[in-house]
Amino acid sequence: MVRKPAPYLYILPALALFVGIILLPAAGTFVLSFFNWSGIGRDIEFVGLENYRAAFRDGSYFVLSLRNNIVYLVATFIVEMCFGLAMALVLDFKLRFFGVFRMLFFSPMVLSMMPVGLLWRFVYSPEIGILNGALKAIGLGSLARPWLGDPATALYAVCLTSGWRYAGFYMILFYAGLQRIPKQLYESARIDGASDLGCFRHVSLPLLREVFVICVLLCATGAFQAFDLIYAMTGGKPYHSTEVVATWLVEVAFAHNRFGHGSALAVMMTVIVFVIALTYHFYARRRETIEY
Amino acid sequence: MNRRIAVGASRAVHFMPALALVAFTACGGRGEHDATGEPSRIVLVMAHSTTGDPEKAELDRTVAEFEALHPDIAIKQNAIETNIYETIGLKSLFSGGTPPDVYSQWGKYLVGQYQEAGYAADLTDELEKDSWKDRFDPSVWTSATYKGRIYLIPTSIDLTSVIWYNKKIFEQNGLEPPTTWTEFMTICDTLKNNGIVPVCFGNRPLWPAANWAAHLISRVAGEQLYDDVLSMKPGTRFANDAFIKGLGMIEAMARSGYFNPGLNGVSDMEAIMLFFQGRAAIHPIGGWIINHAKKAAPEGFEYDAFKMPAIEDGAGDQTSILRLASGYMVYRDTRYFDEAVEFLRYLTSVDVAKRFVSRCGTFSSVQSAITEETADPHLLTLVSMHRSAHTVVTAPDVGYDRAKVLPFMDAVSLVIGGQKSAREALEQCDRAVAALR
Repeated sequence: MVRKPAPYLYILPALALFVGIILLPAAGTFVLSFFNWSGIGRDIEFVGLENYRAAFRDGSYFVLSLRNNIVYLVATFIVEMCFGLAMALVLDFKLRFFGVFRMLFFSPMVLSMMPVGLLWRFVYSPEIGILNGALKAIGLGSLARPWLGDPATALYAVCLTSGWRYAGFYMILFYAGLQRIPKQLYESARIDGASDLGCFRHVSLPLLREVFVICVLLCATGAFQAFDLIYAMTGGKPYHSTEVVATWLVEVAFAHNRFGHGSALAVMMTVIVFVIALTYHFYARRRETIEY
Repeated sequence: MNRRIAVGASRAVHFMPALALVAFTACGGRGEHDATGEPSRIVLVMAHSTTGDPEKAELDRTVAEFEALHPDIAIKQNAIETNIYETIGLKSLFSGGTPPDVYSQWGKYLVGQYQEAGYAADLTDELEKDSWKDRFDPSVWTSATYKGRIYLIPTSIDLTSVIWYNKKIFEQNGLEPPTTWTEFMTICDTLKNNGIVPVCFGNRPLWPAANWAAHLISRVAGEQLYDDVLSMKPGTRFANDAFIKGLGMIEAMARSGYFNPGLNGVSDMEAIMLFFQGRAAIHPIGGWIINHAKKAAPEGFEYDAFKMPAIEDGAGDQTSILRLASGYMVYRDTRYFDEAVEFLRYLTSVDVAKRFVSRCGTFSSVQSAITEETADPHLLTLVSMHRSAHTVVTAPDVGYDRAKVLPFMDAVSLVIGGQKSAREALEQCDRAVAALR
């Protein structure tokens, strides 16, 4: 059978863009990960797997940054999804001023990350920040601290900001999921004597599972891609306590002039995210789907 | 596949996304054409990191003047924000195959690095013509020279670690600028006891405290040992007695609570604002604060500067300053070398340099540009400091191989933030440097 060329021609522009912008740079990064190159000039040296080994030596913050990525994942998962779900449930009550609430909850999503980072730097500022100011005003001045300058709190402060930024996005997903659940199911549950909490636990939660699957995947891949907010708020400081793999590899490649090592970190990062996504996808597909 | 081809291709594609963002402004042909299709004007591409006013406005004006004087030359500016320019911007332009004809650069280490990479034209002979070289402060050539040849036309001198103080706070507390380290510590103690933050830093970018600590260490250890260690000469190590003693003095200050809290999470600009708002009495930073003060300091804010106080038993020159010259380099393979040099001659002419001094507060490297008529009184203070210094110490952040100096900058941040002792931090620094070697 002769295949028609038209479908292939239709996808050609998108394919060309994908190859030019994603595949070729990715392949280039992979090749470069086996070389030493400063990014300046033509001096380049093949070093085999040395750039990969260097990630685990003294002076490298790869392991620390990977750990921070995981902390960031867990913290943003809790903050973004819990707040997102809570806000979706509030909206689902169809209160007065529903539109105003929805706009308020969603509004941080329309801001780009750099202004969000700068805005929250002011909130957390040790001298002029409103957080410390508010704590002092209500008699909790002893809790005031340099939130972004203290390695014990800096990462969590960034996670909270991320939660503020993204909770609205998850709210929309959960709210859409809640709207899809037939009202008859709630009515049946009520006839069976279920309370509000019972309806939520036995009707809403199980039927939101598909949404949870998507949210968890988005949250996990988003956490491993985290860069812009951390770059704007802390730059990986203080003492690398907010360093994630993306900020560390940018530092290595562009500040340390070690493009080969930076490329090796990028390759390892890609593999990790790919494995997480595949594992999760495999696990999620095995679970049976509830039809309604 | 041939390794050379593979690497070349890899390098090219590696920079594709960066090029799309950074280099597109530099594209667009290197000659303008008239109606007959003949080239009418040469287009000289100039990359630099001057993005903020009043410097950018003055540079635009200078470019317009030059173009009016040379109708056959057009200058296309590619202005990139300083941090991006230093890390990604300039490298992307060269590696991506769109090198600028003229580009701004910091002196010393980067001059050598770009020369070795084949990106720098030798300007030594040009400077000898028409006594061009005589216009400049003779001390700047150490920053512009590599292996005996000059590759950088210096336009400004940056004193990167001057100690600025709030005059009103000093007066209210009966304090005078210190001349010795002991006096300095007494001042810090008095200020702290009176409820005032003595010294503020915005050390998020690491260089503010690292520069200051480096200067202090050079005073304690001596300039030769400082330079040997920062240059990673074989057999040297950061955790030597003199470095531990120097950094230990900052450790003692941190332990006494003389710094603003959370300084490693504060940006350099935020620290400048804290100083302007009177929330700290002293702020060590470069001469560029003069310009910020003109724009952002509150009405009636009075400030002045003092040099790093003398360390009583220090092995270094106690008059030294931490300094770097910056300026412009010309691409080695440019087709428009003569035009590029002509532009730099104009940029460093006395009249233009005077304008940069009077309107932008630039510490010009052109000798006769800074006078009492053209310069801000604070700039004159810097000039006086510069002239009275017998030794110039190179700043670590751009004066040495940044990749290898970063562990030292990390060590300073750990000590000034009270996380580690000077010895522990410098030993950690040595381990990191050993891994890099």
